[in-house]
Amino acid sequence: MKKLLLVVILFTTILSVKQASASSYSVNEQAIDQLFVNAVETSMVSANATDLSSLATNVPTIAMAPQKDAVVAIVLDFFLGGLGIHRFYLGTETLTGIGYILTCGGIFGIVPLVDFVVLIIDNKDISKYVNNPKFFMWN
Amino acid sequence: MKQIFQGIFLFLGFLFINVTLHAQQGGYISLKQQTEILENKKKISNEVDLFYDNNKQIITKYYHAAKEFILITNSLGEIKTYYPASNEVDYKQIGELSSKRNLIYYFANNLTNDLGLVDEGFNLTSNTYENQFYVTLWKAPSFLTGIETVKMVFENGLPVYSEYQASKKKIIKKTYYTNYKDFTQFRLPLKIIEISYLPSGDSIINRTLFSNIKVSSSPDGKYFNFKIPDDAKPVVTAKGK
Repeated sequence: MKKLLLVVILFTTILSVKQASASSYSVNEQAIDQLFVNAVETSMVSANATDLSSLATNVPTIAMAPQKDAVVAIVLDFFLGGLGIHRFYLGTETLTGIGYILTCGGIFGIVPLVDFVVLIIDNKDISKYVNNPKFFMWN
Repeated sequence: MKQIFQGIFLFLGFLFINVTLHAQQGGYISLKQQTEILENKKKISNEVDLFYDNNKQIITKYYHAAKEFILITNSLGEIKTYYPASNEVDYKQIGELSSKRNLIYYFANNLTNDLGLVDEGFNLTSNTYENQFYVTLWKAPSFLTGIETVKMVFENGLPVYSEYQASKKKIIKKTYYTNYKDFTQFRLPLKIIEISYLPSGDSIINRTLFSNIKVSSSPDGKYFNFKIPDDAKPVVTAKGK
C-alpha cells in the first residue's frame, strides 16, 4: 500500500512538472497588454544616443556621440541590441543598423548577442568596431 | 480539326490550372506591421507597411518614421533605400539581409520547421512531446559565443514558442507566436511577443502586431513593384561615402 502511494505521488509530481513546463509555452497576453497600456509613450527620435528610454527604433540616422565609450555600447547593445542601436552609436552604415530590424533583431537576436560578447571581451579597445560598416562587426 | 480542338482544350486546361494554382499561392502579401517596445515602463512604437512579392521574393517596406523611407530587399540581399522627401537613394548588398531571412518568407512558404535556424548553422539535437506540444532543441554553431541552445516549441505543427538559452539555467530571450490566422496556403501569427531578459533582472518586451493582411495573386498595393525615380540622387553621408 505504501509503495502504491509512493508511485501515485511520483506520477502526480511528474505530471504536474510536465503541465507547468507546458504552460510556460503560452504568454499571459492580458498582462502584457496591461503593461503596454500603463507605459508612457516616448519619442521615436532622439538626438542623444545615450538616452536609453527615447532612442529611435527604425529611423535611418541617429546623431553620433563624438567619443565612443565601450560601456555605453555594451549597455545599448543589452537594452536595444535587437534594433541595432549600439551599431548606430558606434557608427556604421545606415542599412547595417536597419539590418538588425529586418532580420528580426539581428537574426533573431543572435547578432546583437555576439556583439555584446565581443564588446565585453574587447572593452579596452573597441576601435575596430567604431565606424565598422560590416553587418557582422566582429568578422 | 478534332486535334486542333483537343489542343485548344488542353491549352485552356493548362492555363486554368496554372492560374488557379498561382491564385492559391498567394503571391502578393501586404500587411501593416506595428512594433512596440516596452522598457522600464516606457514604450516606443513604430508602424511599417510591408509588401511581400512571394514570386520574386522582394520585400518592400514603407516606414512611418520621422524621416519616411522605403526599403526594398530581394533574395540576394540587394537593398535599396529611397527617401522620398529628399529624392535620395542608397544601394547596398548585404547577404544577411536577404528577403529569404525575413520571418514573413518562412511563414508565407510554410518553412516553419526551424524558422531559419538551420540556415544559421543550428543543429537539431532532440525532439520530444510535452502534452500537445512538440518540443525541439537546437544546438548553436560554435562561432556563436554566448548562446548554447534554442528551444522551439510547436503546437498543431506551428511554432508557438522559442527560447534562447545561454546555458541550461539561463534564458536570454523568449518569443511567443500567437493568434495564428489561416490563409489559403499558409498561416501567420498576428502577434509575436518577445521578452529579453537582462542581467539586472529587468526585461524588455517587444510586441509585433500584424494587421490588415491581404493575400492576392496580383500586386494589389501601392508599393508592390515600387520603382525608385530615375532622377533620385545617391545618398551623401557625412563621411562622404
